[in-house]
Amino acid sequence: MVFLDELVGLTVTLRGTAADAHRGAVVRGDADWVVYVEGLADWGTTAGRPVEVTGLLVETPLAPEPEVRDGAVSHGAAGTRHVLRGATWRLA
Amino acid sequence: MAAVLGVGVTVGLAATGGLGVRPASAAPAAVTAGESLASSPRPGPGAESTDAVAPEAAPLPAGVKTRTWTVARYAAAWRRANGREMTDRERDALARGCIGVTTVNIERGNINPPLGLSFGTFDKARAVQTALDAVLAGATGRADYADRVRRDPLLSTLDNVTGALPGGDPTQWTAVVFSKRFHSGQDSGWTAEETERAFRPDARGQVDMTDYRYRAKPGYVNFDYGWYDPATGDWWHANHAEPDMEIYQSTLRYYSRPLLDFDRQVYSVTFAKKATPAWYSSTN
Repeated sequence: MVFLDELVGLTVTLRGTAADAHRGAVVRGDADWVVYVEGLADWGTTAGRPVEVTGLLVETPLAPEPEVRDGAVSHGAAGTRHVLRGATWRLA
Repeated sequence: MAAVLGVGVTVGLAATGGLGVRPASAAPAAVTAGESLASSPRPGPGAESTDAVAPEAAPLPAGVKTRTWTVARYAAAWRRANGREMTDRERDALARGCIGVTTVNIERGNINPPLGLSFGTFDKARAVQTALDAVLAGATGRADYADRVRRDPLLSTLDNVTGALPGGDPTQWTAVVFSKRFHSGQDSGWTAEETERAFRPDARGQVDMTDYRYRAKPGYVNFDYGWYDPATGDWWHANHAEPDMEIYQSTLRYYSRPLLDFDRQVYSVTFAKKATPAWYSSTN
């Protein structure tokens, strides 16, 4: 998402829906942007509810790049994702 | 939805709609930052198991959804169960992440766990596992195995049962179950309807994985394998490959929880090499 790229390095508040991904809890916007909440494994019963999350927006890899060696595939994620570091949150 | 700078300046974003500055201190957080719902690593005492390929671990206590293990502690539990260290090749396989956990427990080399016998439900996979073990127990060779499969009321209705058996004496193998979570969009040339139909169970409950290509939903993790451990009833999976790999022992419900990365889950049956549990020789 271009607008997120422009905010990297700033402390921001994002409003969206709490959702879970394999690499942790995320906040998801209407335009389908997804930002991970560092340090939070999952939202528990908060998943699916509107939240506001504030933290330092960074862009970082979430996992090693998947590799294929002799046909054997490894577990990972390609590229980088937006992450809120040092985040606090509340129900919106 | 709004994205708002928390530096005293409100920035409007046309793509996201409404605005509003809300300092983090304006309201109590619904959840404490940094809280993890996963419990601490707590490898337990040995659990008797006839499946020597599973690590030696205690079941998760009631109410605990998941437990995190370091790779070193997992390897130690695996050693206790199997009575030997992992080979270098097995350590390389384990380092592949969740798929590595399943791979080392199958003990068939550093391969991708076979998906030819994949099903839509755990119950169906367990029924197939039970039927396969019954067939394997009395098989005198591959031809006899194939004949027994043809006469089995369940196995005879399924695809790939005969071809899935690895080489050698059939009695060296035991049927095991693992699960795989993944994304349905495996071919960018598919229409939305074709993607929606892909990797669904057929009338027999079997899922055709022929077109699966190990591709991730863009921006997400490529898959998550869960190894079913019959001794504990738990599922073993992982965060990702090395470096910084962690291994999880989870309930099926937690392993299968809704995640944005995946929209399909299969339960697969394959053949693992039998081994004598470390405890077996000293107690029998």
